[in-house]
Amino acid sequence: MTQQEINIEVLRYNPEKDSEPSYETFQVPFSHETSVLQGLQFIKDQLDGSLTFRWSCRMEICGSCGMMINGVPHLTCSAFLRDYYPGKLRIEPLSHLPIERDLAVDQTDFLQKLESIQPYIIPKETRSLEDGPFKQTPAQRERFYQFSECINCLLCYAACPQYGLDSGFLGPAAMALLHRYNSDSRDAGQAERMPIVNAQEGVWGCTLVGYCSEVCPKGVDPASAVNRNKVSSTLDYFFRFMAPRGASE
Amino acid sequence: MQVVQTDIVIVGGGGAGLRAAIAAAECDPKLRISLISKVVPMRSHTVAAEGGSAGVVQSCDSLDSHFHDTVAGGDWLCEQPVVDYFIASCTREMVQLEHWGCPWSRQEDGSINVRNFGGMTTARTWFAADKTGFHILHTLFQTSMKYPSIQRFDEFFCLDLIVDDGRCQGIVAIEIATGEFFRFEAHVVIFATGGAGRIYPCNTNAGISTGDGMGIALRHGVALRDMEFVQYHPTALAGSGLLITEGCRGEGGFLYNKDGYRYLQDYGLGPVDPSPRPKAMELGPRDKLSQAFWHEDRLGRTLDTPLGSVVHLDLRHLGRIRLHERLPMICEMAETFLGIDPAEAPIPVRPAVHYTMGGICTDGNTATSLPGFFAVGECSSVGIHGANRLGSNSLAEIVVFGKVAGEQAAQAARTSRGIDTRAVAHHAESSMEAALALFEHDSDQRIVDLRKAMQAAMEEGVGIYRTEEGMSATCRILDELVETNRRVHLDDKNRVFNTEWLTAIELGFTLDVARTMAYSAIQRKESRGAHQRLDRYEQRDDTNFLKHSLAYAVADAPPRIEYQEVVITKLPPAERVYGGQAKSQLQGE
Amino acid sequence: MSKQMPKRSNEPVFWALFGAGGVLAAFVLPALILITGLAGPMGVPSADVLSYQRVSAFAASWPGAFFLFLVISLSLWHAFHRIYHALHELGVHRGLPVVRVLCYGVALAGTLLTAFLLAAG
Repeated sequence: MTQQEINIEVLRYNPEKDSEPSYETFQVPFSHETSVLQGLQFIKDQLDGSLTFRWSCRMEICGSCGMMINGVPHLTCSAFLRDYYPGKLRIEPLSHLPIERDLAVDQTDFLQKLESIQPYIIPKETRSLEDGPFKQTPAQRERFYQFSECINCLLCYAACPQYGLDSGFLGPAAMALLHRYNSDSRDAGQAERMPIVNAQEGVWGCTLVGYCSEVCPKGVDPASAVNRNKVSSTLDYFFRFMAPRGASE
Repeated sequence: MQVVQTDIVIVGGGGAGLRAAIAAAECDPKLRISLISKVVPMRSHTVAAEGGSAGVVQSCDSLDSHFHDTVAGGDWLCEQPVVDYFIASCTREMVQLEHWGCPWSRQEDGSINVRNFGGMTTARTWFAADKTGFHILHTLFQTSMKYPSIQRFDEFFCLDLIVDDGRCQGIVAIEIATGEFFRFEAHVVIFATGGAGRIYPCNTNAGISTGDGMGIALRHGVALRDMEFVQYHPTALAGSGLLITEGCRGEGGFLYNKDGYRYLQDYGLGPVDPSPRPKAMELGPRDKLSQAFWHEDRLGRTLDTPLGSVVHLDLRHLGRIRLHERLPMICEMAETFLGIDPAEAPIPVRPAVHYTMGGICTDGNTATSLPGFFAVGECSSVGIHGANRLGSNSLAEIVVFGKVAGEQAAQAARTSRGIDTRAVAHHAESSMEAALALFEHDSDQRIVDLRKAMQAAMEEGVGIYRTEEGMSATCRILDELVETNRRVHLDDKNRVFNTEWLTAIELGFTLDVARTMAYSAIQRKESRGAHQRLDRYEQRDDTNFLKHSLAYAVADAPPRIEYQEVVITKLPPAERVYGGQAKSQLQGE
Repeated sequence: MSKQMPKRSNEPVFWALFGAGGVLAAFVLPALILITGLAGPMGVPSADVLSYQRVSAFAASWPGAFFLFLVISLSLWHAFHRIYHALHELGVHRGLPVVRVLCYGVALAGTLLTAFLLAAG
């Protein structure tokens, strides 16, 4: 295996000591299959144990290791050093989120937003376990499935300029998951979730930049979830007086 | 030190911990439940499970058949009454997940679809494409938000149990973001802390699977049971160890050696069929398949790559459409990590450490020998996996026994004898001092060097095949590493988000757990399931070793190994039969 | 956010106008540009298609006036909604009422003016 070296510049910030972030450059050896994450792990293991970042599964499914690589939000486990060579990399924490330390950002805001959309089945009918599973055809499943593939990695929040300007905005992933439950044939919670959709911080915070869908590592299309709900919110706005509350679809 | 008073502490936010939290909350909404996890729950390692979860659902299937497969798969080292309960509860829990929104893959008519899995007589593995663990975890995590009595403490690192008056009364944890210590005073503690695959160099596990809960329990006198049984998953990527699901073979994938020969037929798994035959060839159990690879490798029939020797997992004949429907994540992973399209080229794979069959010894109700302390999921040994776990039994385990743990804990919390606050505070202080002491002593030993030495020793001595000589060398190395680790060097002396400090603490747990594996292994003088010896003990020895091993911590010395009888109620020990004979055996019953 | 009911946004009104203007801009404006900008000046099909008398008569008829009103006003709403949001993206925050009043004010003024002229004509 041929070993080459690449320069990785990382953002450093320790709230106990630093008044503002700075950058530090490390030289890291790599081979064909070395991921950016493995590059960071090399730094932590061998060069500076104080470099702080999150990681876990190494296979694009746990959503821990999202960072900005040369200004683009990416999971570092599935980005490879070879693709940046002979240039260098600049690694920063995900944009728009408060830094906890170095490359680790605060995820609390997203978790609260997730909770606010009632991300669980609000059943149409009470069904006991003895009644067995609901019937759901592959076509019905298809209607929500892609939105259920969100891994909560927050790349879309780092990509969303609206969230960057106003963190009150519910944002792409939470809206995708809201849409996931609304479009599930087993769910009847749409009316309960409608107030959030209708708010300025709901779908109306989005100006359809579409970068969220572009950076999603799982092929989820949050921009489409948001904009389909602009239609439902508009219908709800104009027709709310015509139908009894809760019956608007 | 901050204090949180609560009723039930659950450590671990994976599938087992979340299911336990929900069960406890449903039992009694007035109970205060604290869910503590060193990562935000949806990052837990349950997320990486791919293939599916078992539950008898077809009319041609039966609970007895699943029972037989599980007990025989575990080489008869299973607690049969516990397996019985487990098998009877799987399907109900799968339906529960369905009601909570898990996007199970469906048949055309809208009913649940199931696939074949290794060692199973018929298709009974429920799946959500090849992201079953991911969907189960997110379904449970999101559903848990419905229950206001579940209070989450995300990114809190559990440091120690608090034991006083012979019972568990809480835990000590570090809030990672601040480095502050928290004392949780609780009537009941449930550990759902996951496995310890990071003990080995090439593993399918997430970085967080460091055996913390097992290590902590061990230090408090609780036994770790059957630790010598470490599962190698036969199909992982060379180098990284990333998991390529058994679902690939369930869907009909073939394994070829370098001569393009389906080598499993040479290891008692034939005959060779063009389509999958349950319990034969590629659908054999994981221990047998990994052992077959080991032999092929010795015989020089594997392919050499820069990352190690491999065999080929061929999915090409399944066609692109089926691959993208059934195995989309495998297609993505092959593309991302190998630059391969599985519809065009075979995937190079080799065995990697995947699962710890053993763990914190519990009874069938997930209770440990320590009052007030329960354990569930991979960190525990409730007794269903024996010497070798069948694929798709572990996702079922976390929900079936997660529910049991939650209900048992709710009941135990009601009858608790109260908490001795002063004594608890005292114990917490000493745990805190021990953790802070890591900043004080120093040497030039880097964490990574210790970790790599441990991993190399474990692979060398306690791998797929084992010898007395190899295992005793590993035991010696581990004993030294435990000493060295006491003075490991830290670059980072800060308290805020100090992951290096936490890694050092984890390594302490990991080393203790590794020692229980090595010492349990060397004393098991037979071959059974995932424990295979090459030195005079190549056969199963039911006379002397139809027993669970129990590893107990001993102060400043290697663990002490004791034995426990296996409870056999329905199925007396017999030969494990796979391949063509499996079918005829089944018909003969 | 989870506790109290979030306030309903009035954005659907503007978004509906924006959306209607968008449909118009996509389907009708290209045809109009083709007729008034290319075909007419080039004398296709005849030289007097866009003569003052014909256009004036078109604008004076009820259907013609209504058509022109829709084209002009909805295009204005579409354009100023987009400008307003583009300003937001450039950091001119939507919290500033003056920007909002200015943008939608122009669209509203244009709409009223169009209505007046068409009605007066």
